[in-house]
Amino acid sequence: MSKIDQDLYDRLKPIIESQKFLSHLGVEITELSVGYGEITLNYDERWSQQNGFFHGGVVGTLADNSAGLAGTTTMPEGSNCLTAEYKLNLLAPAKGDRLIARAKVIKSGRTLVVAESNIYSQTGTEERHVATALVTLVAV
Amino acid sequence: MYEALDLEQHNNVALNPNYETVVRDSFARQPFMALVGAKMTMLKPGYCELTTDRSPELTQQHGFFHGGLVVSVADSAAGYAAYSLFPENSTVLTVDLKTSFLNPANGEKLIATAEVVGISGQLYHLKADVFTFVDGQQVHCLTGLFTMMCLIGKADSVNKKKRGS
Repeated sequence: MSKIDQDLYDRLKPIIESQKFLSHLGVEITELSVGYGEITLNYDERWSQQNGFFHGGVVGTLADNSAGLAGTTTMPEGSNCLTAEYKLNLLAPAKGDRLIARAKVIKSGRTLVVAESNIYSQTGTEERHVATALVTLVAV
Repeated sequence: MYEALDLEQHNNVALNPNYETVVRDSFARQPFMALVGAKMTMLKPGYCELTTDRSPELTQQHGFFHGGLVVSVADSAAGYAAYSLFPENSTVLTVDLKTSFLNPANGEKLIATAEVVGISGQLYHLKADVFTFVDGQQVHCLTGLFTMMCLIGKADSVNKKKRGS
């Protein structure tokens, strides 16, 4: 069974498809529902830093984007979701076959949305919590 | 426990079997927490909860709990949640924090909860939340991420006055 709410996905499709940076990286949306978004990025040497881990900036990108995806689902149709700020704690080296970012809306206000995102590295079926972020999004 | 957030289940294990005495003793020596009337209402390895009753002295111009106080109790809860996992003969200090105010803290009391979500060397990462209660309804006022440092071999007490200073 798909973990993607298809009606919601179709509504957000133009926004998702216009995110060229994400398609450039090959980020996939793996779960979507109102107030929740999950995205996945497979490992590639091009995303690595000097130790072969996913670069912290890539981890930040996934934290930001998963939160943006979750945030967009709670905003009125037609609003443009932009990030106002985020804070990221890197808990462990981001090494593995892929990174999975899971974001959840904590509070959806008229203008601001606060979301939290947790990033896990996956090797085989084993997951490790590698980062957590708190993101403020703005509906414009 | 509160249901506002699905906290990760972190199986935090205390290194110091005496952690509860150490943490509660340290908390009891915080004059600021005593001033605002914060009580430690729950302590488990990697988890701490502080409760503060409303009083007019703690409010701002709208009658809400002052935002600085809301952050202070979250910070203290996070510090002690981290400290509960530290080895003996160590102390704790906040390295950084980021918080978001979600709703006005306009209830009868504040409950601050904090949990260790990851440990990297001497740095402990925590998530903290503050709730209030309006007409018995739980309201989520604040959420935040904190980093605490474990200082080994440093006493958790007021610095001794240096000679000659």
